[in-house]
Order: sequence, then C-alpha cells, then structure tokens
Amino acid sequence: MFQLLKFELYKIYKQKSIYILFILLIAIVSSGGFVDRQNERAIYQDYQKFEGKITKEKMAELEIVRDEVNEKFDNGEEVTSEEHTLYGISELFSFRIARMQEREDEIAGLASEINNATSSYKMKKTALKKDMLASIDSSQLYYQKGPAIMIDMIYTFGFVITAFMTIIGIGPIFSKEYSSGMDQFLLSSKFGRSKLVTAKILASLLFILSIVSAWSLYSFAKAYYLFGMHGWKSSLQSLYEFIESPYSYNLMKTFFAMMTIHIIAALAFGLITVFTSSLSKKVMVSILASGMIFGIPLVFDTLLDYGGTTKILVEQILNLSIYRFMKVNRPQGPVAPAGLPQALRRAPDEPDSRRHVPGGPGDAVLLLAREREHRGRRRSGVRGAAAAVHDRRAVGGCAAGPVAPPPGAAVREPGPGGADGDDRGPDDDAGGRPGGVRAGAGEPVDQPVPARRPVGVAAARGRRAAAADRQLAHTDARRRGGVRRWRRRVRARPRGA
Amino acid sequence: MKLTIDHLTKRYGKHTALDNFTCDFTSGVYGILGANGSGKTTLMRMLATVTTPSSGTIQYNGKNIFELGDDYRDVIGYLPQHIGLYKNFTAEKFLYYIAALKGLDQKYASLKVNELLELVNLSDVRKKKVGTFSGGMKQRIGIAQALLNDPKILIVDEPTAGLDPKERIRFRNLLSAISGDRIVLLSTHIVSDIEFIAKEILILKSGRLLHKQDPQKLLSEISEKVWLLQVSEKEIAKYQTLYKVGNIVRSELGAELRIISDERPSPAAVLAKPNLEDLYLYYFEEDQDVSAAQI
Repeated sequence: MFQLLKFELYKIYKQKSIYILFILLIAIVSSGGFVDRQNERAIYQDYQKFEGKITKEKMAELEIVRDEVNEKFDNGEEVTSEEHTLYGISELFSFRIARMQEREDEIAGLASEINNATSSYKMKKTALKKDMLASIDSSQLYYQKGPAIMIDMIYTFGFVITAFMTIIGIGPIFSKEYSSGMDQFLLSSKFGRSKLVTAKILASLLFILSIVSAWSLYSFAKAYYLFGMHGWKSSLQSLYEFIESPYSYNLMKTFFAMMTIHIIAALAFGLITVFTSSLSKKVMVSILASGMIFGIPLVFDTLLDYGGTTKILVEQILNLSIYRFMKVNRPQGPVAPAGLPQALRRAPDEPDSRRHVPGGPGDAVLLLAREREHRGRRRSGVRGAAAAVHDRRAVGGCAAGPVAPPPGAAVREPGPGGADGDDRGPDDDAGGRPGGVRAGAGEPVDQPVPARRPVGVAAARGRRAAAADRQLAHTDARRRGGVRRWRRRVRARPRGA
Repeated sequence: MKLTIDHLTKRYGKHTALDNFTCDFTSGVYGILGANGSGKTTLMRMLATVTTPSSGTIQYNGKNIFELGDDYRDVIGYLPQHIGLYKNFTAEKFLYYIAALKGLDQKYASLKVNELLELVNLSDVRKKKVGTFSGGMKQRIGIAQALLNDPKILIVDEPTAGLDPKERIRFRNLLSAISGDRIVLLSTHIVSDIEFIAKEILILKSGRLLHKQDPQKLLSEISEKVWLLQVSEKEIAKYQTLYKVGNIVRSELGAELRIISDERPSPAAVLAKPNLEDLYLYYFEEDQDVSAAQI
C-alpha cells in the first residue's frame, strides 16, 4: 500500500504543468502592490505605545498630536512620519469607539426583539446572536497588517490557487490512465481495483495539503517580510471584511478556523475531482468537468448581476457550492444590517480592492471617503461624486501608511484660486478642527462596554442616529481641518523623511 | 488447474464481438488464431477481467473469475494488445510500479525485476525512460510486467507485434520455457509464433470458435488441400483469382505456387504437406490480406 501511495505521489508530482501553474499563480499574486518595508517597521514602532486597550490617556495623548498636526497644516509646515501614523491611529480609535457603540445599540435592539419574539426558535436565534455580539471585545488596537494579509490571502487568492492546482494536478488522476491505455494493466492487476484507488485518493489529498501549505507558507513569508508577525491578538472585527462578524475571535483563532474550513473544503473538492476523473476517459474532459464544478458558481458570483427574489434564490444555491465553501468568507464582504450608519456600509458597487491591505489604519479613512462619496452624490450630483472619487483615489492605497496614496497614484492637484472648495457641502462652516477623538471623549471607553442597557427600540434608534451623526461630523470636520492639504503635502515629500 | 469458458458472449450495442464461446483450458500453450475483428482481443480482455461478459461465465478451478476478483487477478499476467506506458517512468520504475500493483513484496520485486529485465534483454536501458523506447522495446517491457508475479495464467494479446525476427524467436523460446505448469493463451495472426509451441490452436472467426484442436489434427484436416504447382509467369494472376494462393516461389522456369484448394487445381499439381500458414489461409483468406499471414 505504501509503495502504491509513493508511486501515485510520484506520478502527481512528476507533472510539469503543476509547477508552471503554481509559479504563474504566485507571480500573479505577487505582482503590484509595493510596500515600503522600512517605513512599515517605523509605523510599527509608532504603534507600540498605543497598542492594547483604548484608554482615555492614550486618546488624550493622540489628541495633542492631532492638534499639533492641524496646527502644522495651518502654518504650512511639514508633518513627520510619526505624526502621520499617530493621526491614523487616532482615527482608528474613534472609528472603533463608534463601532462599539453600534454594537451596543444592536445588542439593545436584539434584547427588545427577544421580548417581542413570536416563536421560541426566533427567540433562541436572537438570544444567541445577542450573546455572541456581547462577548466581542474590539477595544484593543494592534498593528496587525501581517495577520491581516494572511487572512486576506485565504479568500482572495489562496482558494483559487488550491482549486486550480487541484483541477490540473488531480483532474487527470484516473482519466489519464484510461487515455494512455494503462487502465488495462491496472484493471487486471491484483490491487488495481482496490488498494490502487485508495492510494490515488490518499495521494490526491496529500497533494492538496501540500498545495495549501505551499501558498500558506508563501503568504506567511510575505507577511513576515513586509509587516512582521504582530497583532495576532487583535479582534476579528478589526478587519474591515469582518466588521460585523458575530464571532468573538482574535486574528490567530480566525486564521486557523478559516484555514481549517478551507482545508476541509479543499479536500472535499479533491474527492469531487477524483470522482469526476474516474468517470472521464479523456484528460481534457475531466479537467473541464471539475473546472466547471468550481468555476460556474464563481462566474455567477463575479460576473452576473441579478437582483430581487432571483438574488435570494441564486444566493441560496451558491451557498451550496464548493467554491464558496473553499472561499470560507462571504463573497462580497459583510452585509450591513438595517440601521447601521451609512458610514459603516460598503457601497454595493464597490469592487474588491486588490491593493488594499485590510486592517490597516487607512481602513477608517477609506470608510469615511466612501461615506463622502455617497453624500457627495446625494448633495451635488456628478460634481460631488467626482470629488469624492478623487478622495477615494487619494486614500485607496493605504497599505503604505495611514493616508498615503500608493506610489504613482494619480491625484488631481488643485487649480489656482482655491479650487479645493469645489466639493464643499452646505454644512461646511459648521465646525472647526478635526474632532473625532473629542467627539467620543465623553464615552467611558476605558471601561468594559456594558453588555446590556435597559433601553427600548426607539431609544436604540435614537442613539444609533446620534452615533452616525458623530461619525459624519467627524468626517466633515476632518475635511475642513485641512486634511486634504496635509495629504498633498505628505505626498509631495519622500516617504520616511 | 482449469479455466472453463461457458457460452461466453460479448455484445457492443448491436455488434456481437464474441458469440457463444465455449471451451476448457488446462496447462500448456494455446494459440488463438484469428483475423482482425475476430474477437480475440475481446476474449482476452474478459479473461483478464478488464471487461465483463454480456452473458456466459468464465470459471477458474470451478469458481467464477469475477467473483474471485483479486484472488483471480493475483494469478494472471496480462499483456494487452495496445499497451500504454508512463512516458516519464524508467523501465525499472515501471516494473516496480506494476510489482506494487501486483502486491509483490519489495525484496522479491527487486529480484524479479532484475531477472525479467535480463530475460527481455533490457538490462542496459533499465534507467532510461520508456517514452524513448522503440515499439519492440515497449513490447518487451510489456512481456516482462506480465511475468512479474509468476502467473498461473498468462494472457498475451499479439505479443510479437512490433518485434523483429530475432526478438520473436527469443520470445517464442521464452514462452516455451515457462509454459510448464501454467495456462498460456496467446493470440496472434502470425502463425509461426505458435506453430511449434502450441498445445492446441483455436481458430476464431467473426466472434465464433471454429476449431480447437492440436496443430497436427488441424493440419491433417487440410492434408489433401494444399498443392504445389509449377506455372509460367503469365499464369500467376489467373491462379490467384481462382484459388487461395500462399507462397509464390519464383525461379527461372516461372513460379511455383502454393495453392490451398479442396480440388486439384491442375493435373500438374502435386500434394504438399500442410503447415499452419496454409491452415490460416484456408480459414481466413477471403477477408484477410494474404500478406498478413506471411512471415
């Protein structure tokens, strides 16, 4: 048996095509996305002081930095790289606080839902959700880009690599025997119908494990080299994609949970591929068949636009697909529950950004820019939206720092005569300097967030609206405070200066 | 040791590849003669359990071979007609792979592989990839793999196709040497392969078994049907259209024709001692190119 397994593995690994494909896939994954490693090290240093629980002291300290930064804008002075990072952290702090508030409101809403529940099933379900949400602690901030890109890798490229390699590597496992005429030797030999089949299945599963290990190792090496291995303790909700996840997981637990699910799914897909191969007499047919089993749901997900009841039906069918099982994460990021502030929602037409490193401080900026875009559209139609797109472009490449654009990103320079003001809304004169931290300063953020509050639905709604307003006020205030001017200045000088 | 085939039939759609085949095999070499499409390969594939019959049974020592399963496959060696090999494997590795498939333990396998590589004269190229081998070399590897497990039943489907005369003689002697206590079923349309080593010859035509007898008895059936006739060069064509003509030996006087005919083709014709080639022509000439039966 061991001998047969060895031979089957030898046959799989002897295929040149798998090496070519793997190198090609890794080359695609590696292409683009420049990261300044030295700068990342510096950012990590800046972070260390503020890592851990969000406290009043830390916030107060950051507030001083904010004031300094704003002052520098006004005086036209340059901002240091450290100030740059700290400004980003202060934004993250206020964003976290807003999120915690949101969660609290949701918990309060759920509590009243439980009271009004019409069936015991609904009650249990709501209670479970409420308990899960209550156990989340996202009040700790860490520099977490390393773990973040490793988790991101699973559902962006990792599952595609596993699938493609399985299709090409395992697809021919039986069909090649038929097409080459070897089947006659196998079928007429003692173990050709029994142990050989077991050996082939085992070899396939081992091959898949090796593939998952290979790209995980690549992902680890990349994350370690670029960002280092910090921030595994951070909460799952600190990643944008999982902002509304009800699981009280840290990033380490999340990574292993997702990898476990991915591996189970990958092994299941391996078995499907082996089975498909055993039914095909031609290699091409078996590769196409297993390729379609994986690829058709993917095409549905990425290319086809459907809506209404069709969407619900298609979604339900797609949820059964091996593709989604392997991807682990939901395909289009979190679906915002009703009542969530617009600022925390993702635009429905937003494509996944490949360059975006989740979990970085720029996340908050990205969110705020999105909000700006929506507001811009509502307020002044095309003109406002165009300006918002401009903002988005400016913050899209947050991999390199809190608010710095990717190298070479095209950003519109202001024309003469203060063209900066062209997207100002009617409430532009409503406030002064950036006040994100200040806005939430009255909240007991250094205390554990209470799980329950004896409030009704209306109260929850009211507080939710208040939180949203705070967030929006922050957005506009920041903008008025000259962040854009500041950004331009930061862009103009070399990084790490 | 006995292999019993009872009313074996194989149909592919409407086409019947093998029709009601019944016979017994005991130790010794059996030559299965038949033109292309006569059902030889179908019969052998079923004997090797690669395909299943549409009806009828094959029994080994009284037990159905498909029920015996792996136990039966343990005692057979099969060389298919068109062999496919893994191009990336070396000759040695391929044999080790088949040895593993046949469940040989590693030490024994290593002995056997060496012995058989020697036997089929491939020791020198044992480390070469089989993808680089000539047709004859591949055939020899095929023969070696069939013999790996010392099979009690050796099923070889046109084993000499692609071998040069020297290799063919070598193979013939090899078969003769190992045929002691086993059943060797050998299909061919090259009669010299089995002329002297076959215990019995089976003649298959259009899926039916026409004859199963020892060569001498078969030959005695056509003992008065083979004629030698001296003709002029011009007459050759005429005799070829009227009769089944085997060898044509040209000389200064014209040509000597070997004619297979129930009646004396000409008063000048003299009876000749029949051989298997004549026998083959006698049964298959009408649907087979004569040259195929010639050596």
